Amino acid sequence: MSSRRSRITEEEINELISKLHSLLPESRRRSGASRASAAKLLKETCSYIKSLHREVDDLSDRLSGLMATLDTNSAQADIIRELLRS
Amino acid sequence: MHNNKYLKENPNQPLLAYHFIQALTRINLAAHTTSTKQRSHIIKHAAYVSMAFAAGNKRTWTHAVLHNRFPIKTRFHRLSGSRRSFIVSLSRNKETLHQAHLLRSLVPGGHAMEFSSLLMETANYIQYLTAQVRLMQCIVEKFDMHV
Repeated sequence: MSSRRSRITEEEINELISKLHSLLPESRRRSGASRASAAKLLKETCSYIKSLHREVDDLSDRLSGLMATLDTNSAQADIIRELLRS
Repeated sequence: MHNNKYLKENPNQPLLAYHFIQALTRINLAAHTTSTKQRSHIIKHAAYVSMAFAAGNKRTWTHAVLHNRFPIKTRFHRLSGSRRSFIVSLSRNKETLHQAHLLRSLVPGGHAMEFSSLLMETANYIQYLTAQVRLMQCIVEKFDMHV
């Protein structure tokens, strides 16, 4: 947790905003971050995070359901092998 | 410059998979004692904890996850960090402030961060969230094949 009062420049902020922009899906490339697009970007970021949270919820439900019906030992060994291979 | 470290990191996917699968194995051992809905909550919790472990100790959001159980339930802290530290050019725009406030509620520990930290932590959090989602999709696919 930084408590130092270092001056964050506008350039660094813009850089961070571009980075965020590039992480969003369907990001439109723009050459600079104006004030208007900063608000828009934050809004899109919020929607994106919410949709990711919903996906985690949904996938947790599905995993839970699948676990109830699964013959585990062989499946797990295969899963682990496949995931660690990639 | 210290900022650049935040910008260049890629999620540690093997570590993420390791933690999460370990958790799933434990959860599965107790599967006969839990209802599907209970288990879903436990799996979801394990997902966020795995993300936090894989992302490591240097992030505010990982601390918030590991200490508050679910990121969504982070309490609103009226800390000076979220009020004082605005960049002048952005602070004149009310819409930006409003969106930043909303974002703080979505990122674990968001209300305690300075604005620039919020941006960096958000980027990192999104990277780990997407990695976690991909991991879970992958596992679901494999499970599906064996059912």
